[in-house]
Amino acid sequence: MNSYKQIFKLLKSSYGIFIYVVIYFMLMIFMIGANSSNTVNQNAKTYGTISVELKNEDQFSIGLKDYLKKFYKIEEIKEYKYAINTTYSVGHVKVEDIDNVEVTLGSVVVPLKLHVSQYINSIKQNDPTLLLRRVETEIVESKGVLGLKEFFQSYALLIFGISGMFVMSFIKPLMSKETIEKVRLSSTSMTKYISSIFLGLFTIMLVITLLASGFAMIVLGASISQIIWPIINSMLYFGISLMILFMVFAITSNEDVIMVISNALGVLLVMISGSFFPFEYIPKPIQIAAKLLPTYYYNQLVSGFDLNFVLIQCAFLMALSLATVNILKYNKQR
Amino acid sequence: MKKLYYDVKIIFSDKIVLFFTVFFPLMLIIIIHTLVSGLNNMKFKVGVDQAGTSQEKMIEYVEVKDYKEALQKNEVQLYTKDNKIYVTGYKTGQAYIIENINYAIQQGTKDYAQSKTLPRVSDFVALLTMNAIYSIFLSITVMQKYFGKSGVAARIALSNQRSRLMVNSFILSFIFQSIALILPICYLSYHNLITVNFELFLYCGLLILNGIGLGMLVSSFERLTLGMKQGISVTIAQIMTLIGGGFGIPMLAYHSKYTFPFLQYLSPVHLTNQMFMNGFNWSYVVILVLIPIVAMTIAYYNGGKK
Repeated sequence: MNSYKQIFKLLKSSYGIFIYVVIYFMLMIFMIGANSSNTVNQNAKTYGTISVELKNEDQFSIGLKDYLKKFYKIEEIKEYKYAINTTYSVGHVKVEDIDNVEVTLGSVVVPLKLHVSQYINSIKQNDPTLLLRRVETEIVESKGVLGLKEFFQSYALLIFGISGMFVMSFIKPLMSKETIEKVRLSSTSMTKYISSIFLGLFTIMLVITLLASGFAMIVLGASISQIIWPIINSMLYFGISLMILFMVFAITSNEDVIMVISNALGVLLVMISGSFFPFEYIPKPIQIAAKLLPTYYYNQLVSGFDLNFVLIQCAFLMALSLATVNILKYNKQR
Repeated sequence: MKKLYYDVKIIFSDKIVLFFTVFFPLMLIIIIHTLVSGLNNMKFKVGVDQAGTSQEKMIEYVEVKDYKEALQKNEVQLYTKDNKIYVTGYKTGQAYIIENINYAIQQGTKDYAQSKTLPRVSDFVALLTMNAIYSIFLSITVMQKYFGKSGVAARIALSNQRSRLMVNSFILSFIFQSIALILPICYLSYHNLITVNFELFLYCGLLILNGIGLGMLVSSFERLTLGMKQGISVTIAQIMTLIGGGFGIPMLAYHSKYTFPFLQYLSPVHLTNQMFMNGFNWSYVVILVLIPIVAMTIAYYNGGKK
């Protein structure tokens, strides 16, 4: 009984999984495309994109624009409010004269109004050298590549969704009573059969992850050494999410519950683990809850290798695997 | 009435539909609101040797002994000493603190800019529209009886009542989803995150029509199982929401409008979100009316009569 052949057969017959993976891949391409030009990379060099509207082309206005150019990428944006609302632009500066400079911001943490004040202050004090007095910044230890980090944080969502689809499309039919009976009658041992199913699924996921990483490398310009660790981390997380959903399948055998968990839970886990919001500003009770979940450690590991977090992830995987095996044994006895 | 009762029974007997239509979007709205409200109370911790009080309400000085350890453990956003700043990479709010320190050493104290911060409507509007597009999920469950491989589907396909029954199911799906939308609208309006007006109902109504139409379209592919159709429908709804700026990544909406312009026309959520932010747009409304008509026409002829 060759489960690889079975997986391949199922892969050919269930084109739903292809649609699912293709849709997700389209999304990935789109996200990488967006990532390449958004503030993720820009912020590493500048404080973001702004638009500047000058009423007069006088010395003050041009001087202010030039000063802002040092910190921001200045673009001509027609719908500046829409751009700010969608966080594409971090602000808009409307310059009339020295006493009428209007700054529209999208977030209070953007230092645009401080930059404007710095320039006006130097003009009012008639001392242009004031602007040269700046603190020196030293990076103690930089972790990870910013664009790549964002990309792999979002990838957790895809991993969870794909795991759910794998459980529904592959594990469920391959673990059906008829198939199990066939395995028993064949010369293949049950352990070998189940491990080959998981190996097959890991191979498919590895191919998807390698393709995704390839896109990330091309567009975000990451090197092979930077990409290896996120791939290992993704595969580890895939193992965990697959085991979570397999365990749910072992408990309920209900396709609907797996779907709810793979979609709804996947989104919630990713959100509270700090992928889309800075983790340090998430309310404390949610932070505590997130630290009990593997998605949090996945996010931490995206930034770089940490043995403690790897061990925690391995412990999650082991615990889930043991729990699933025990549930399957209990079901068999019953 | 009997047929309508049958459709209502289908909806209430499917707990997953109830979950995705009523509870999941509401749960997301509450969670995101909680996460975003955390951002409003941001206080940046600046590591120093001797802590004093900050005049800036967003900055808090923290005394640290080992600044490297404090930075790596994320106890402080940055550490400053002798006009020098030590950081571990980019962190939210870091730029603001640095420029604040810069302004102080440039002998500046006054805020010369007349600044205003725009209220972020995109996050919650995107959540509301996501709730509306989830009608795709409801639609698949209700419409399954017309397109599935069951005996019921075969009998309906042969009867001359098919169109009438489909219209009934369509209306019921629309009413049910509209009622389900009231809960999040109440939550958002209670927290002053949206304004309840005619436009709100118009845009949401259009989006529900799109969801139901697209649901019918997915439903009409008979080779897919119900579970698979539901999975695909949730994925479509999530992707449309994401392209439209949902899930806390509003910038994707801007990119799909200017970097990949064709994408905005593939996502009714995106068009609706734009109208919420930029105001009424006739061409968008026409597209939003056309999408369900085309989807339903294809679905009608694609499935059910084999």
